[in-house]
Amino acid sequence: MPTQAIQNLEITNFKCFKDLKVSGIGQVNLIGGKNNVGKTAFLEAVELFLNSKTASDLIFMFKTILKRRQNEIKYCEVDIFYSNEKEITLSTPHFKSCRIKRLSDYIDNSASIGDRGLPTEGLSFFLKEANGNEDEKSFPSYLFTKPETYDFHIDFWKNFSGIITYISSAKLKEQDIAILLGKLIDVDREDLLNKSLSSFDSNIITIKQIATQQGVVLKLKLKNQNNLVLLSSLGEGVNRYIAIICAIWANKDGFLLIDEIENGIHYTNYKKLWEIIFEASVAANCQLFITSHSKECISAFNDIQFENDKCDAQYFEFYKNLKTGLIDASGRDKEQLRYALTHEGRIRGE
Amino acid sequence: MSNNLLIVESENDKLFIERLKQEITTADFDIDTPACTISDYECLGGLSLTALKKKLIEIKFDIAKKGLDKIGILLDADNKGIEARVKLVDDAVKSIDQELTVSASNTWYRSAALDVQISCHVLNVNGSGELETLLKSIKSKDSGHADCLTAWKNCLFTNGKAISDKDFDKFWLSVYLRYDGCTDAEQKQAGRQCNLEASLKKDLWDFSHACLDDLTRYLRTFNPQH
Repeated sequence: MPTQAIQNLEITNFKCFKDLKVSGIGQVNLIGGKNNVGKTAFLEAVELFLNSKTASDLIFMFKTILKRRQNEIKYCEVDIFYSNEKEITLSTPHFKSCRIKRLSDYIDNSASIGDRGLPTEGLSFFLKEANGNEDEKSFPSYLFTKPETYDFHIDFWKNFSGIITYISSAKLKEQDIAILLGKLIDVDREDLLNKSLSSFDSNIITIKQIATQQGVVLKLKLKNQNNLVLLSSLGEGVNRYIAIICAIWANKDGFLLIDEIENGIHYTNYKKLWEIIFEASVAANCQLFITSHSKECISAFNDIQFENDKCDAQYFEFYKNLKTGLIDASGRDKEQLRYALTHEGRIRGE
Repeated sequence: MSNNLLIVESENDKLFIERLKQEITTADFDIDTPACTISDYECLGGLSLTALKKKLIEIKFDIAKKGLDKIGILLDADNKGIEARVKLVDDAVKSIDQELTVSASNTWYRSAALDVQISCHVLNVNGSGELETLLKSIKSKDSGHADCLTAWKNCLFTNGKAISDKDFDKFWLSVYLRYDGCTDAEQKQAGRQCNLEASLKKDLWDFSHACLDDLTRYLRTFNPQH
């Protein structure tokens, strides 16, 4: 397991989660469930938690998550508190805890934004690490809600590597894939990628980065074709497959979040995809959190759970508990998941 | 949709209970996907502890997802008897609630941890048997073809080739469905017209037979007013 891997996570008052405890988290974690049960919100909570090593990181990730969902909107709303609650906590016992709190008093923000500052509503960001170190910063709320303040021009933003740890359900930009590919080449795993690409699509021989004056363009060498073919001209499935493999290696000794992994990928390739994910996650020491709506994709995941015993892979079902009215998560081991899949089990919140 | 769920062993159990339910207007339960599929090696000798445990673990998720109030387990006595089958249920429920004890059939036990009531009923005729034994007892039409199998069974015994009661009852039922319960025309499409599902739509069974009294009484206990 990665050095920063988490085995459990407790989430309070974050988005749709009033009180969620997830235990038994493994190296590769697949999450299923109906719409609006918090699968993506869980990925965001994990991202917020694992990407934050200081209170400033927490502020940055808070903003990133808000912007990702609301990037088309001129006015950005702080919508990550459950109901009207005032305090979010994300914690792993004996590891670390994060807290984001609505301040009941106005804060004086003149120190953070100069003489423009006036007492204003704020948010407090607190982080406590396993070694006992504590860090806290308060920040005016309005800085999160106006798009022109996106960059903040504050030094601590520069500490971030910019490496993608979250692959959304939408198609990735080619520039982002190129950066991830660069990281994979850095760790000398290009051969592995090309080999798995051939397995994914037998027509693909290799991927090439072509530097142009406008930036890097990705091209593929295909069988029986003399000219290289633009990656962007191929289907979404190949783009996503490449992005996922590269992102695992780009996040060596870290973690990766993938939303709706099956998007664009043909079902006959699911097993190959899981094979490479299981192998790469162990080799790159990368912990993965992945969501899926597809039963075929979950079945393929379960098949590989039985074939690869080196990777600790877990399945979690998110659902609304009708007795408590809250969202819960339950883990199934590989035997139980197989039983459910072969006995019309309701593994996706049905 | 009901908040009560009945677990059954096989697809035939499900078909039979669905039909019997039509006779009991006050029965308030849904029937779950059978615990055993036709290809389950774990169920070849009847419902096993492993298969029932796996089923109950799946149902445990449903308690919260569907807000279940009552869970009933219907299983065959087989040749093991009622007491042994209740013991099997008791062992299996421990996989979802260590504190829960099921010590008798037809009795509801409350699981505080799961906020649900659990019970079981054992299908039997005089303390043993399974669905086929029960069906054999409640047949309502002439069973001349099927009954001749008794002579065949005796012949086997005389020749030192015994057949178990369980296998005999299954064989008897097949012959009753196909030769006593189907017309010549239906027999030409025996796969569709002479199976159990089709037979339950015909007048081949006496659903008011005394052999079903215990079972119907049990199914009525799912009613919230019970």
